[in-house]
Amino acid sequence: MSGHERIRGEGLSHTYLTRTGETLALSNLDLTVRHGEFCGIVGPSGCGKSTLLAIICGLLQPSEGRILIDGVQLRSPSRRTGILLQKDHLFEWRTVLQNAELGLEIQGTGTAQARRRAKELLKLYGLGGFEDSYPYQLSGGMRQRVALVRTLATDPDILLLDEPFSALDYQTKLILERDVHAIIRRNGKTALLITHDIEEAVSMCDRVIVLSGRPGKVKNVYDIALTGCAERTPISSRDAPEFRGYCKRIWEDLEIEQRSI
Amino acid sequence: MSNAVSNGFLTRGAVSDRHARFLRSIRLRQTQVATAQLAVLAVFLAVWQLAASWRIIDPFITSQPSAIAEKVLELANDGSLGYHVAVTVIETLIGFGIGTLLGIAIAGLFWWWDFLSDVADPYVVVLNATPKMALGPVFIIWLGATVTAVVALAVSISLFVTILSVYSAFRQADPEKLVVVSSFGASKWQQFSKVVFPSAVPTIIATLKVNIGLSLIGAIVGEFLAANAGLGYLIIYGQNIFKMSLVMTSLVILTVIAGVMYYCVNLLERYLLPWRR
Repeated sequence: MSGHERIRGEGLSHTYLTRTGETLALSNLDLTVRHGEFCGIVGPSGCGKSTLLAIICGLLQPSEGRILIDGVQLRSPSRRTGILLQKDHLFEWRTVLQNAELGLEIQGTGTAQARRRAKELLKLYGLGGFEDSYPYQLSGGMRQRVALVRTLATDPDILLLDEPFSALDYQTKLILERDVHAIIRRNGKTALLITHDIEEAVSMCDRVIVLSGRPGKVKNVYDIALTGCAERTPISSRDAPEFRGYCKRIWEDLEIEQRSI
Repeated sequence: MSNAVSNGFLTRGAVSDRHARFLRSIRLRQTQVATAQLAVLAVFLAVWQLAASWRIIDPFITSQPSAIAEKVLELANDGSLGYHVAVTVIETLIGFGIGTLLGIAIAGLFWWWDFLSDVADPYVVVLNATPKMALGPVFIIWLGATVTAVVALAVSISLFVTILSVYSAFRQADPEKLVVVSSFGASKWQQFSKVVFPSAVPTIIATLKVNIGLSLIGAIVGEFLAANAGLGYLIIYGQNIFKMSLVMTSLVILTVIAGVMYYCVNLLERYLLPWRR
């Protein structure tokens, strides 16, 4: 995974201002994600993970530092990036197909071809026949799949995943992790996964960045090198002999952080 | 499995004997409820009619169902029923339409430009709390004793409550849904049209239901004060010449109009909110 730099954060700091004072959420954070890389970020709660994601997404301007996507400074949301959040946030007044087409509609690329693509993606992820259903008629796992299709329909190069599996039951979570991992690998996309689930991070990612508690700083970086599995998937990764070791070290990093809070 | 079961009214559409029994039980209950509702009305009318005939109550003061029925026929025959009903309904609908649409538009403006909303907030709240009936004489002096004054009263009564409730619904749109559309690069107008407005549709429908009643109040009170046509005018006229049957007849027709208008809003709700079970 030695492609060119896709995401580069330089000296990112962010301070939230309120009437009663300031809160430093991120402090002088540097970050690089290369093309085709699956990068994970774990940290104790309140370490500024969501702030970091909003900044990389272009929804929030950092107080200091800058973020570059393919070497160009980001000032507003880029069409190159797509996000997947913890909740599916499907629009309950739209049908499954209309939800899947949301991004295409907003970007004005809702051509017949793009619509066909949205339909094909729905079929590919087991939602064929549900195009005209409303979200309330679907299960939690199916809803998150629709949200995934909505993100993929605009064909982003970079996927920002903010705990997208944490609200699912264990079995659905493993299946979706596998699917998302395969999609990203197969299509040569770049992914940044924010999670509090250490096993999820180690099993899915090439590299895991551990953040310290507030204000968020990079505490440790682990390059995940797993052996013993012919084809790496989030499920086979869990059987690799190195898997436990990585989990344990990251856990220890986080535990020290929790104690100091 | 029998196909013969699915012919009767109570078991129509049944797919099996068990399903037929299930359908029969729920439809039987529906029929019972409807019958009981009609019976309540019939008993009420019968007691009223008989009590007045036997002089237990004074029909000069209370009127009675047969006199009301005669009056309805009389007004229908000389064409004045249709005329007065049309005047009141049109005034109400214009007042309702302007009050609701203007209210939603102003709420949208407030969402777009929150400085304006902060500045206007105390004024809207105070105007909403003001009894709009008190404005009646003002509208009559400004606009004359005309249909325009009646419509103005109907508008004023629904406008401010619409602004307040719809604006509050606009502000309650889920911020994470806004993040989703923003991540696709949505403009502010797209944020409004894709998330904020659709999220507020259930509240808007609820507001319509309230407004249709409020506008009817506005139209009737306006007619009390300043009109020579409409059901409000008929009520006041009936009071002045002490014809209780005319007053009661107008009231009954008014009730029917209110019911029909409310039913229409319910139909609209079912059409606009198919995603609500």
